[in-house]
Amino acid sequence: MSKLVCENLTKAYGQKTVLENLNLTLESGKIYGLIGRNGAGKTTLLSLMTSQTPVTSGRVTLDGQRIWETRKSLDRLCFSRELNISAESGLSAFTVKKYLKTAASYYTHWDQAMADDLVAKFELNVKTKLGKLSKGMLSMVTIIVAMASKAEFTFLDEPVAGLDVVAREQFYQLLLEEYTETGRTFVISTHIIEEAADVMEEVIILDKGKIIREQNTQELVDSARYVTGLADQVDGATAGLECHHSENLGRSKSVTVLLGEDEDLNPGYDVTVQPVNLQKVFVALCGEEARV
Amino acid sequence: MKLKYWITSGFQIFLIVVAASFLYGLLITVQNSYMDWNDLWVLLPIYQLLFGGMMQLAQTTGVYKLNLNLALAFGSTRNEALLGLQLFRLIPTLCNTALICVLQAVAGENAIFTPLTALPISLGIGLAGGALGTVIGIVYARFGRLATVLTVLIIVALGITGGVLAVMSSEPQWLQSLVSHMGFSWLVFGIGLILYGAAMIPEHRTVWKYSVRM
Repeated sequence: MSKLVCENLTKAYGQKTVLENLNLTLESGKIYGLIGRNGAGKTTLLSLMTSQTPVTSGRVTLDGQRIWETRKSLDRLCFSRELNISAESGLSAFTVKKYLKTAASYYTHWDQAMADDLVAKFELNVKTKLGKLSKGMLSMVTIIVAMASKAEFTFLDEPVAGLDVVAREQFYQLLLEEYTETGRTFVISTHIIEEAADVMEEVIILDKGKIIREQNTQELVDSARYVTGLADQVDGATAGLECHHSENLGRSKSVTVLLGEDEDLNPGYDVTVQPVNLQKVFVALCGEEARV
Repeated sequence: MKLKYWITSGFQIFLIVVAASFLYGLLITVQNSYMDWNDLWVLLPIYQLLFGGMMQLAQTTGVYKLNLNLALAFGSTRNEALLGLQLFRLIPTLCNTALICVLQAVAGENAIFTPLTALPISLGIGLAGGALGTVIGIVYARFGRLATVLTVLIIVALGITGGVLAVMSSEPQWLQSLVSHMGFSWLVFGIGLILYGAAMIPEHRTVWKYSVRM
């Protein structure tokens, strides 16, 4: 099993530290979801993991070998960025065909048949310039590059941004098919959490430049409870547990609780307990500081 | 080594330089009744030198905005990108120089340069243009649009220099003897080489620290 490891990763731009002492291990053959609020450092983290941005300190290794300036390691990675085509970007004059041809000239394991197939599936006109494409169509282009690169570790930054619901479903289906067939590792950064939750085997939650959770998605969701009731009852039921996103409304109170292994709510209190989805867990974790 | 894109782009720039030089020469020849087709071939190397140098300046921010971003985004190492940048600049210069030498050899006694003087002059101008282009590229990578101001300043400075040379060339024999002097040719080459070498030092540092922006 291959491992991509980030050790004490720090990235600062001048005085501003974007990521601080971050440690993360990605194992091959999994689909990871990277979620975080705007400015949490998701794109920076993906850039550091693929050598597209130099680290300030720390290191990234793939099977023990540094990826920085190592051709063998870089050949196993692909980070398909979200394309922001501005008028002054040189890319705006590129046609879809030229962009894909350029990508093909760089990726060692490029699958042209797959790229052609996806162009047809997404009904893209290859003669159209990138500058003329809608946000959703640009996302399709980045998806095609990510998939056709056939890289062992593939990183996608906001792959479904601007895609309509049908295209998003197509993408998730494509992702699962590719994953099942090849066992490639995918890391997907997204804001559309609930939709992507079904395909994320592991979830990495990034907040203010730090990983606050890295866990199996189902385990995380299963461990979460939304507890409501009178404030004193809720406080009693959740005493000593990891509580997040506490809200008071008159005498009532609601709180999201993350239960540890073998933990449960304290018995004997009159509270309502509801399951929580991944999006709610994310809001609970990143919406405010935790209290224990 | 992931250099195919850089090499292809380098040859494309060379073809653009040749096409632009030829079209410009054609236009000048057609417009001036005292010129004949022979003059087009004799003067073509001058236009090639002009457009070759100008192209090195013109595509500088584009190289950083586009080619470097793409190379690093698609998995190039920094060393490969650096080598790619040099190939992108040197391929048009070398090809342009070779073509100029051939054209001058064919032109025979009508030639402005001898092939031996054309070689260092063309290389020198190409290298100097590449060096200025590199500096503009570095300024773009670090300070963004300030590079546009620098480009304008350099073009104005080159325009003034060109104007001075044009005035001096009212004595064509003097200019002819200068450009056909081997010492002058190699001086141009030496200056170009030193400038190019000097520009590579900050470029190495810039590429090493570059973050992909797309």
